Amino acid sequence: MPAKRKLISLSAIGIDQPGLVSRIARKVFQLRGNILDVEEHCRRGLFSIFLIIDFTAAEQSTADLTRLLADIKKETGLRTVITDIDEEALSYSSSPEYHLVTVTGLDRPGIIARISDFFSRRNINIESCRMASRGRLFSMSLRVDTGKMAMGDGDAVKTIDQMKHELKNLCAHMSQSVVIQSENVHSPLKKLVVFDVETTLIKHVSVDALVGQAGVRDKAIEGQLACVSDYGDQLATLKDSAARLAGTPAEELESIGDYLVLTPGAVELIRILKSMGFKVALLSSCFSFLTRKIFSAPGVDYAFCNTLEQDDDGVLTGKLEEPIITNDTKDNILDFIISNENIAREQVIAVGDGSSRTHFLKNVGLSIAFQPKTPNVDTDGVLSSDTISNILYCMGIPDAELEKYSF
Amino acid sequence: MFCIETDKLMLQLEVVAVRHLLAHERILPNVANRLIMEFKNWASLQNPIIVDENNIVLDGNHRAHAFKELRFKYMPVCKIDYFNTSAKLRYWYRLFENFPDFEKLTAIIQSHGGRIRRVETREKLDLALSEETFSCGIHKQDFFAVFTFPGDIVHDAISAYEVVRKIEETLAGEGVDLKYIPCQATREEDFCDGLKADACIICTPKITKEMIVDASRQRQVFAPKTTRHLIPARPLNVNVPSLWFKDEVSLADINERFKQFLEAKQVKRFAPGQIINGRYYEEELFVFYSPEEGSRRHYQG
Repeated sequence: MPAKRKLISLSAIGIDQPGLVSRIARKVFQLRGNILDVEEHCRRGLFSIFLIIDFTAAEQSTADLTRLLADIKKETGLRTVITDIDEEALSYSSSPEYHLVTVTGLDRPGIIARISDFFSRRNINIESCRMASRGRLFSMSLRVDTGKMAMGDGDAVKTIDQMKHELKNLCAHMSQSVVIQSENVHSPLKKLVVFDVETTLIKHVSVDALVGQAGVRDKAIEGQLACVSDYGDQLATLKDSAARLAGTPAEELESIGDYLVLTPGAVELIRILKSMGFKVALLSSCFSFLTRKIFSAPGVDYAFCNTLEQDDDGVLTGKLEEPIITNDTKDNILDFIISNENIAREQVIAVGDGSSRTHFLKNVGLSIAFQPKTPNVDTDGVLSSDTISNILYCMGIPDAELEKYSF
Repeated sequence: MFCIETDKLMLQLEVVAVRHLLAHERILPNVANRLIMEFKNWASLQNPIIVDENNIVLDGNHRAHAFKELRFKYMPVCKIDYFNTSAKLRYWYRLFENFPDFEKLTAIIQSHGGRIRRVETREKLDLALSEETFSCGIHKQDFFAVFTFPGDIVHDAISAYEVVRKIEETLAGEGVDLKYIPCQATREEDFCDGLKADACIICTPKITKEMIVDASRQRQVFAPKTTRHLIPARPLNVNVPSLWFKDEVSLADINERFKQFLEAKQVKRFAPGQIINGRYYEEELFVFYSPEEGSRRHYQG
């Protein structure tokens, strides 16, 4: 039986200044202590550190270490606390189930209290928590372990899904967006971000204005924009809209797309994702003259939409070029992009509204519903903010990286 | 031969001997040198070049040149019926973005034997370019002009583009920046609105497919960036191993190997107007891919 180790924890807090870690580490080394674990943070000018030290080989007592650390307090004002650890009393989770939870929205009192209470009531342990705020925006990332969570009828998947739904509801109630990503060994680096254009990148309120501008062809445009709003038989609607435009010179429609307003932050988001090294794909069932503005955003790697057939004189024939893209075929196109990029489906982040119109959100690495009609959507996350670029907070990108960009 | 039948024309994918390829334009050395460097290191050729039935290179002139320089024996091509009406011949216009002074351009054109005639509108310029064989145009804000050359200077399509090249070179010597733009761009409002006040466009002469074929058969080549072919359909991402085309095998054998290689892949068809690999395609696309490389693959750490 191995000899019992003598472990201590050391925590310290004070005003940040250069050399604090070095001073502490030197004193520990002086007494032959071995640092097993360390976590240090500087927030708003305050320094804090937490260490676990193996003191088994030390010839002096922890009281001696306390005396040595008192010298640091005199010099720097750093207050330290040393505690003996009984290793046997520690409760390690034998089968941890980690999830990364990101909550973002406008800052307001009580968010942390309610979310921590939510986890506490379900016996979910918060392993780490980090908050960042930008102006009025609140963003908090938590790493939680659901390994000890009570599993209702024994079905872990169902219980976790239920917990996710309840958390989404809680966050919706607080007007916060939330993304829950399961963290395990098969959580590869994300490489592709795919957007459903109609439900994420086009601002819906602009549709009425567009129909107004389309003049005599408003019926056709209105029908076509069924892609944006609710619809019945999408394929039939698309064909009908195309037929209504027969005989129209294609160039007459070119400027109509200018009236369509993009979701705030859409172009900026694409630019930032590109500069971070992501590939960006846009999927749309709209006609090309409507998607022109967003498709011309710099850096788009893939963009697919429907094209109206033209004759040799550039006049619309009333037919659509095959293959016609519908909400049902978008998943098939995503499969093609994945093959072309030679990546796995787990490396995809998909953004849609989470409704049945965005089937392709299923079975990807991270699925996010942007402004869904209901929080009870089957996605990893829900972004209720007006500004789509806030999605960046939910992608597990380090704060330091996000600080480089203004959005 | 691997055939793709589209609504408008047949795409025949096959391998031809590099020595049988006929260029119809001279190359731009900087573009060619960059491609030679790239092909030296690339494991595969992504897209086949497009040729007509006589192996006249319609799209991929620089890639064909790079293959010749690197002593490849064969090259994969996509053969089309050039005279199919859906295959369009267009031109590259010249855009000078920091054009200093119109008087200077007039003097340069005149020094090459040209005669300049002002016209009032864009429509009149278009009409003149269509009716006056091998005439060129100038478009600078609301100023439009036609310029022509006597028969001893411009007597055929080749000489017409040669004199444009000489004017370009003289302007380049004056420090004027040159860009090549598709001729249709000048009809797009967005493009014209975005032009700076000191920008000037030279509209190049109109030529025909027959002129291209005749010149190529006589082993004559046009100046660089003369033609811009719009092919209504295009194969993409063939990604065939480059080394195959250096092998000492017969043309029949390499063609059989190429056909089997393509048959093992899947082809996805896309309508015109899509963006793939960051490039916008006006044409219908037939994209080759291997599903097992992507969606069926599971992440391995």
